[in-house]
Amino acid sequence: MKTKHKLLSIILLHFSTISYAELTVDFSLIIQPVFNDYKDEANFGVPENIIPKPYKKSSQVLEISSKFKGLSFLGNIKHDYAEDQDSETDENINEIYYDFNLAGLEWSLGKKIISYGVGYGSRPLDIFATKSQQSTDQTSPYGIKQIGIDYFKDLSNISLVVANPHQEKTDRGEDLQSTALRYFNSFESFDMQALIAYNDENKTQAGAGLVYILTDAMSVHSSFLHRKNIYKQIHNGLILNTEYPYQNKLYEDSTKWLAGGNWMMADKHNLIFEYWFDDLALSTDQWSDLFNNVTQQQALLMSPVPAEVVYNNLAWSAKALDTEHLMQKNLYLRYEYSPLDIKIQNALLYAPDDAGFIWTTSFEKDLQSFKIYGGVRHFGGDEKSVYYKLPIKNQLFMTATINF
Amino acid sequence: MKKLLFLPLLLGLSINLSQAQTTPQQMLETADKYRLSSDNMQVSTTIKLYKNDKKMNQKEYMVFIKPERKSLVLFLNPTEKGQKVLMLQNKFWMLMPKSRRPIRITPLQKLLGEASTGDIATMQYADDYNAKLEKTDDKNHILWLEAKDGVEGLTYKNIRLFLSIDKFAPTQAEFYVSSGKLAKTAEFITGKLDGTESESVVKMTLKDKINKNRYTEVIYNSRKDFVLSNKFYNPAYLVKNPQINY
Repeated sequence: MKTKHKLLSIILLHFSTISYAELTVDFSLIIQPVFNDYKDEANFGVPENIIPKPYKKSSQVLEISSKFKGLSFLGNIKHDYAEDQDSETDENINEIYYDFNLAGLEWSLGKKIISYGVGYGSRPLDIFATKSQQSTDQTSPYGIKQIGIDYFKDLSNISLVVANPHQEKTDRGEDLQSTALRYFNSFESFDMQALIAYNDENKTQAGAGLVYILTDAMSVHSSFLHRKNIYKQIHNGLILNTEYPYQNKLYEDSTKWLAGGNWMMADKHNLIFEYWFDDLALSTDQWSDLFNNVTQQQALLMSPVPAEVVYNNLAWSAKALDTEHLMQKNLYLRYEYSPLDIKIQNALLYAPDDAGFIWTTSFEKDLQSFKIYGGVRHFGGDEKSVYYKLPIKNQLFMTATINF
Repeated sequence: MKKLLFLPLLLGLSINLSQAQTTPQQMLETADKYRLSSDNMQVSTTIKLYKNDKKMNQKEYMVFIKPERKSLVLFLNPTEKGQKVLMLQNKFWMLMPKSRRPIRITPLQKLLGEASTGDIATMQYADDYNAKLEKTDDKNHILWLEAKDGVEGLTYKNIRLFLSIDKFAPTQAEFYVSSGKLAKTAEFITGKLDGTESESVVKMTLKDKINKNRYTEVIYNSRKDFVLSNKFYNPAYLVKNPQINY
């Protein structure tokens, strides 16, 4: 058995990095099983034949990354399994771009992951991010199609990005054509960045971010983003609808801001604390309206109205919970202990407006070519809170990553 | 005959006199040359973590060093590939391959990991510390190093460094954090790396004062002169995940 393991290690080491002069190709196999324990009243009581509640889910992802001179590629083959549902397999390109230097500037053409801003639980300046900060998914995020021009001097950087330049200006969502100009600089005790962006949906967006090193052990960070326009999906308020009840409602002069810090205590104990506000998430009144609507819809189950009609409307109401940051005001605490070769984390996301929370306890262990990350997550708090109303009560998750 | 009898005594006296003329700071500068033989270097390093004398983990790093306390640490293990730590005097950034943004970290955050990146990337002490000779015994000169005024962001505030009597080669060290607490001890082994004529530190064994059944070996596989372009010392440039050919 030991010889077998040794042989496998030797084979894995041989294929760990194929280097032909400047070509590098790396593979990662990421296996992510998830076990969900649902609440009795999950999805506002909508039966499983309308909104499935898979107990077991798993995604198997083979990520392939390659670099050759200025050309970079990151893609995956992904297989998704969910109990009592059809499995799906698809191929995706996370990134494919070409970097080159011209006229003293660094150019970048193609699909590329672009991340701005500071923060751990949320990053207000991350206008091109495609992945939730709260996700337990350990696969790589997806890039945006862009033309990028960078100018670097000493510790500073000016970056111009035109995202989705091929799209019509009226396209929405991820395909939105957008132009962003960002300035980054680093000083003795702090890093700062400023961002200004424009697209037809949000119009002007402007913000800034800062990380300040207070002491050898403590840093504080903050960022702010102002958007001229945002659109929220708001329920029309009718108890029974015959068609999709949400409509995009325009809100002007919205803000998203975050303030927090990082305290590295002695002996490898680390605490991250953050508070953020996001106009795009549900306000207390909006959640209250939705909750009252759901209560009235549920009451109709005792009436002569056909149950199917009521359940379809409840399912539409449940869609409001299917988004990233649910509440506008959030407090985030993450305690991390890293004794040598293992990392243990406890994270709390708490919504002070309705006393709902998400608690996550996780660990990460790194072994040469193999990394394991896993943990448990609990959605709780006040019974009327948004986080309590999420369909899952407890979740057991794991990610095994094998690099070769 | 009498003169011959006095010769060893005179020889011993002359050695002692030459050593007496060497200041503690000069001793420290000589000791530094056992780890950093040139201003611009590329050092290949292996970290081996042991628990109860059994090897638990092994990690590979490539460290690029420039004058004025500038260094870039590349993490080479498959699970950490693409991860980097940039250190420019008292400024530090962590770059994670999936986050694509520089994360400014505090000096204490460098202490995370099997061996802190500060331990791996710090190759000389003379620029950052003032040395005082504590004592000299049969085997060692013992120096007490104190962080120089105005030098910030050091991993350790004080170091007790043991140097060999004859060559001022580092043999042992005790590392103290700013609270005055002893954080780690180190033992140095000197030898000749492949392709080099001069002696240098080939292995440093770090012992944690908290987890006493564990220790970490820092093995220096190779050291060579290498000048890494200045653009790699900009945290925003490193986000582009550029290929570094060495």
